[in-house]
Amino acid sequence: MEDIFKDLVSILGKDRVATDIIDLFPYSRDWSPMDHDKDYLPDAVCIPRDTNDVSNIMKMAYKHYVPVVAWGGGTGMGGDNLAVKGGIVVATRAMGKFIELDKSSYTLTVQAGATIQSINDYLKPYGLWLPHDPESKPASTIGAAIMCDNDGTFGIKYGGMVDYVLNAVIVLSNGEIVRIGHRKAASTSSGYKLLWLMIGSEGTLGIVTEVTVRVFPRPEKREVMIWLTKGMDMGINALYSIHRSGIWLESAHINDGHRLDYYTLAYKERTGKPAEIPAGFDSLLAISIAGDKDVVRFSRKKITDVMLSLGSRPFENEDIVKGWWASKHTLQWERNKWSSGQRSAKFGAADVAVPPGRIMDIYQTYLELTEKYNIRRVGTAIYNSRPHVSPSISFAVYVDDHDRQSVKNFFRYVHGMSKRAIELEGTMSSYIGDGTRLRRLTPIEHGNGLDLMWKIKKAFDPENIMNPGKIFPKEYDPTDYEV
Amino acid sequence: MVKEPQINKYRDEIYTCVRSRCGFCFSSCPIFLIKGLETYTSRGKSMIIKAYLEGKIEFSQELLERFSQCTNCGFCTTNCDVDRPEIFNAFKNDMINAGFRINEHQRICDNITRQGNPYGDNATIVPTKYWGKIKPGSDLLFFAGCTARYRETSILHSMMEILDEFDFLEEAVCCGSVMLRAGNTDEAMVQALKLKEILDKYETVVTACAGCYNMIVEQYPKLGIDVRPKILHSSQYIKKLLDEGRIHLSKIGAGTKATYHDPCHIGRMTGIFENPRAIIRAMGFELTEMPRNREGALCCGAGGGYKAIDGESAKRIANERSLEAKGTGSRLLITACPFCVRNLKDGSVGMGINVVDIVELVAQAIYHPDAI
Repeated sequence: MEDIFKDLVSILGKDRVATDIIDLFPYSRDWSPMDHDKDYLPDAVCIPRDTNDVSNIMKMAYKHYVPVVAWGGGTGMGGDNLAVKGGIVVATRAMGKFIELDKSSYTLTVQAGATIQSINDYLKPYGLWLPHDPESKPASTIGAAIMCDNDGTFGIKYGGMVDYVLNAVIVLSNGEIVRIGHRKAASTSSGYKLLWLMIGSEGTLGIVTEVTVRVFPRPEKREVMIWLTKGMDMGINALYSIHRSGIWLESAHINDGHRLDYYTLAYKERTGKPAEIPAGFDSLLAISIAGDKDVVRFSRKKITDVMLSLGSRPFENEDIVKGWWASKHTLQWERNKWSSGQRSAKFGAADVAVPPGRIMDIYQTYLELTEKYNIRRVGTAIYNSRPHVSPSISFAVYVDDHDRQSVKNFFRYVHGMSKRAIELEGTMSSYIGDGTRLRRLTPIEHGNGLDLMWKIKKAFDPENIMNPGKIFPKEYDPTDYEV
Repeated sequence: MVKEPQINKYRDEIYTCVRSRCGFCFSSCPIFLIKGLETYTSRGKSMIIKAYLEGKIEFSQELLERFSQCTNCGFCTTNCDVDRPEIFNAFKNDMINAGFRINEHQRICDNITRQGNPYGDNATIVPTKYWGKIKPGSDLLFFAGCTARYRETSILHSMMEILDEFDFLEEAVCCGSVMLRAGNTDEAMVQALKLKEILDKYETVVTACAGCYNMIVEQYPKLGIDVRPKILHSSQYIKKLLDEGRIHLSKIGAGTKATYHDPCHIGRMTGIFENPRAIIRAMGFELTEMPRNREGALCCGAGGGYKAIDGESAKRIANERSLEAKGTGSRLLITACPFCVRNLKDGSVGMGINVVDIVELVAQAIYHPDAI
């Protein structure tokens, strides 16, 4: 490895290659629940400035068969960016330059290491925004958003990364640089959709270094409402009714009562009491509407009519609504929920998706499995990740990361939820991805489709150096690239 | 007897960070901004401390060097539950107690111990025009701070122009801020006790230094030291004079755009955001805000002894901040800290930006009601 390090230094300069163990620990874990003392140490961390730097790193890695893992904000929840076989971590945050804002076509071209937050800070003075809005936005990068295909608060109106990305520059395992996509056109019917193939590929096919995304006019006004429901399926039905009325919601989330407590932790800390759902109800539908003030006023009235006719009623506690929205979008909380909510236990989730009609079936499994494995529930949050009703679900729990049995039970729970979701004609992951945690189950999820995926993988990465140990189970990966 | 590492008492805080991993601490971390390596971020440091707590790494010179690359700007704390710099300074102190040293920081400590200021300078030149204002026995002490006293003396003189009557220490006494922030807690304690004895003789103390202000108001109590007098930063004192009608400010800034850089030690750390802005407006300037302002302001890059150990990087951070200032369309960058002035001047060379401390402008604009 010493020779490789020397070569990397000659390419990037000594300030951009770290091999001292002190500098490797910060890159040894992601957001996944795991034993508190577990680390996945890479052999080196490289800090490229541009596509050429990444290409040179890849040429070096390809020549020496060294695994390479791309790293964005390091907030993934499934082990996607862990260097499980060592190798080089390519830390992309230093690639955050804004390349072109095309105001007439509403597109932004940016280096892949720009955070979602920095993109929106940049766009704000122009009255524009990128509505892809994960709660990790101050840390998560646009490149990682593509590679992990996570969901966001405004998916029901604007969709996911597949709806935003127009083209991207990808560096392949041999260092080859390829621009894929359809320039600035919003759609194409030409050729294979290589861009779509990249979305959610977890860095196993290539490293994205530059991306062009669609951006949108920032709405003038926004209102957030929470409606009380009896059963989360009532929330799903309400969404269909609202859609039928012609109202275009900006965001829609369905929560069970437990989850409300977590989202409004700040409220509990301020008032000393939990945010409880009033008697007679057990769940909620939280929505936002946005537009000019006339449209917002009209939408509000229409939605109120629909919800009241369904037997719902508004949750009229402004503090709770504000606290909930802080958690989902503004992040203007008195205390950071991520740290204040995880002082004694780690947050973890099964992120299955099921058809809208099976929500209560999978919820029942959540209750049963958490009971079976003695797991404390955080609660359920149903996002809508694509236009119209499109549930992506977080069935969240607490994991005691200082108790190995608790961590084991968490993974048994996740696997149980995943298998049940597939039985219910759903999918085992809706926003976290496979990473290391679900790779044993991908043959169940994809059947012989997984063989086809492996062939595709080999076409992009014949030596299997791009983020090895992810998505595919061990049986697909006969070679050992430990160095 | 070997002292138990202080870091052990922060174990829960470290694992809370490892669990939450939100990474909100590094979007404006000045060192991460220029180095791109998570080692220098708060989250990264938690991971390194975790490795130490689990016996995977030991104290070393390299480790102390990594942790010393921090300006103590406190941005990492704005969206976090815990006082990150306090933890990291305790960790540095553990390594110093174990015998490791940063030479540049040690030189600063030695200078302070021997000569009362980090620069090792001797004489303070007070122009004769202000001699008459210095009244030993006055209730009010003007505590200039080392950088105003020895490097950015225009700030020292401007403050003397603004004040009516005040006492002034003939011999410099450092508040110990840079010692504390470099992890030299024991030396800082000695300075703090020495200064307390002096300050307690007065009713009011006005300082022109954001670092001194924060040290005395916020850090001394954490060290178990409470001082008797009311401590005011220059911007607080000037605003008070304005509110009480004791001074007026002429509109020297009419028709001029100006932007304001929040010094970390009075802004993010102690919440003084609006006083300086009100004073700037009172002088008629058109205040244009930088995108990163108030709690979210980017550090100038100088604090925590960082300028002493890596002046070039400190300058690069100041350059980044100056570019942000220039982006507002203003050519006047106002701040309220001698150390920020010093580094922002270094970082904006050739950019056509004029960096000033707010007291330098007030000294030009001030007139007393009875002088009309």
